[in-house]
Amino acid sequence: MGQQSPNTSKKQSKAQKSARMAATRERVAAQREQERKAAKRRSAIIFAASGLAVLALVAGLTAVVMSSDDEGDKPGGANNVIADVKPDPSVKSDIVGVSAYTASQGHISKPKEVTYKQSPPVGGEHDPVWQNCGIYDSPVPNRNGVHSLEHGTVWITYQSNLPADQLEVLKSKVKGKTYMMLSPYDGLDKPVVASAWGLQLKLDNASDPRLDQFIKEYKEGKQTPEPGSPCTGGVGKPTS
Amino acid sequence: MHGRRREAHLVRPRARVALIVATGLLAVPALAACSSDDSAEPAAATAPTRALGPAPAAVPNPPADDSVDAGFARDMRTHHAQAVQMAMMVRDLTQDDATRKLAYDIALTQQEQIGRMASWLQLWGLTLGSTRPVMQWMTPGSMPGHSGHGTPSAGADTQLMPGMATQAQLDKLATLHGKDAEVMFLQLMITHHEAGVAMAREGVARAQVQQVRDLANTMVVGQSSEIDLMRSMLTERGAG
Repeated sequence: MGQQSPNTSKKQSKAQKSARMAATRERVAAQREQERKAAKRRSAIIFAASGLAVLALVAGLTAVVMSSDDEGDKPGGANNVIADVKPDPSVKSDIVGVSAYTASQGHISKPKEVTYKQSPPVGGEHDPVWQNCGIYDSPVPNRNGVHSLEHGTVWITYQSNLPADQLEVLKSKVKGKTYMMLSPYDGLDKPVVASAWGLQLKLDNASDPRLDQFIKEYKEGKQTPEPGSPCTGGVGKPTS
Repeated sequence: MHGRRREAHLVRPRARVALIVATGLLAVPALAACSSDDSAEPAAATAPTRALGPAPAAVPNPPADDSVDAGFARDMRTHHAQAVQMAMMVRDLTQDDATRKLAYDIALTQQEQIGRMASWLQLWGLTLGSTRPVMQWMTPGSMPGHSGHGTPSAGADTQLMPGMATQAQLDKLATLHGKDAEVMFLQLMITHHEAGVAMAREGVARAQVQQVRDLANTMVVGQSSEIDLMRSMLTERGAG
């Protein structure tokens, strides 16, 4: 190949140019194809994710609705929980006169209130914080007292007009002991009522020997749902 | 560093985000399913008949209800419970590391022993609760400042076991902070431990079960060394 004429070189550069343009076109096309695929992928991901989101939303709403049903949009309003406590015929105490119940254990935080059908309560939903054990001269909140029952406490309650000598008898059963609580209680149908988790004994007199039996058997007894949990470090300031 | 980057490239960033979101969303219905399982549980648990009272003894020749072993286990559980209570209190009342560590040690050690003694009583077929007078299992006169059989020394709070702080003392401790709380805690705990050691010595000397004597001995040794430590800590605080 001798010397190239200007004509030839012009031709050649034209061919080169078109080849270059073809390559560019191909590159652009390939790039567009890639972008198209990426867009397709993107929309597939978005589609799948939004599908899952809808599913989750439905499931989540269902869960919320179901759980609010559980906590009882029962009579008394959405903020009032009626403690789930039922007589339990499968339990037989060897102490005459003891009533037995099954009771649920849920924790209910304020401002939700808990209503108990038993007086005093024997169990059921209760406050997250327990009542400190010991002797009280004024009533303690049901919702905290029930939590102490769950930890194994025997809670002795009495009518506020109980004779002083009988009150001394009751105090002597609580003072210096663990997992024992004593407080007056309004509206009792017997002068003295001893309660443990799911168990209750109503008495006419503080000196009834069944009270000692009840304490011996049920203080930290087998019925305790949470044995070993504390009866100090909660709420309430006992007098002793 | 390198490996991590390579690993990250295995999944494209966008796909990774989608994966994380999808996993999160899938967890919602799964969790909802779990919570509905929980609410169904109590119904199944109430079916069989529940027995009350202690199960029969699981060991041959268990100590009797009025034995030294049972009395030691019950009374020492009560005694320990107050040590745990005071230790937990002081941890909230001071930032002093030495006091907080000591309190941590006392609380966890004694709480573990409380559980161990509960287990013994259960294996012996005995109740954790008792209405026997405290310290009745002790030899009369064996306890400094306490005549045994529940009779307190002059000026002591009736019915409290030897060494126990009164409710008024606990109430006072709860109002203190920093060094004042440390000093009162140390004073109360030294008194508490001294009586604990005397009780434990009786257990070492008179319990019938080897494991009871062994644990009682660890109490004598452990609490005695803690008394020494607490005395030196009192001195450091100018209250020795």
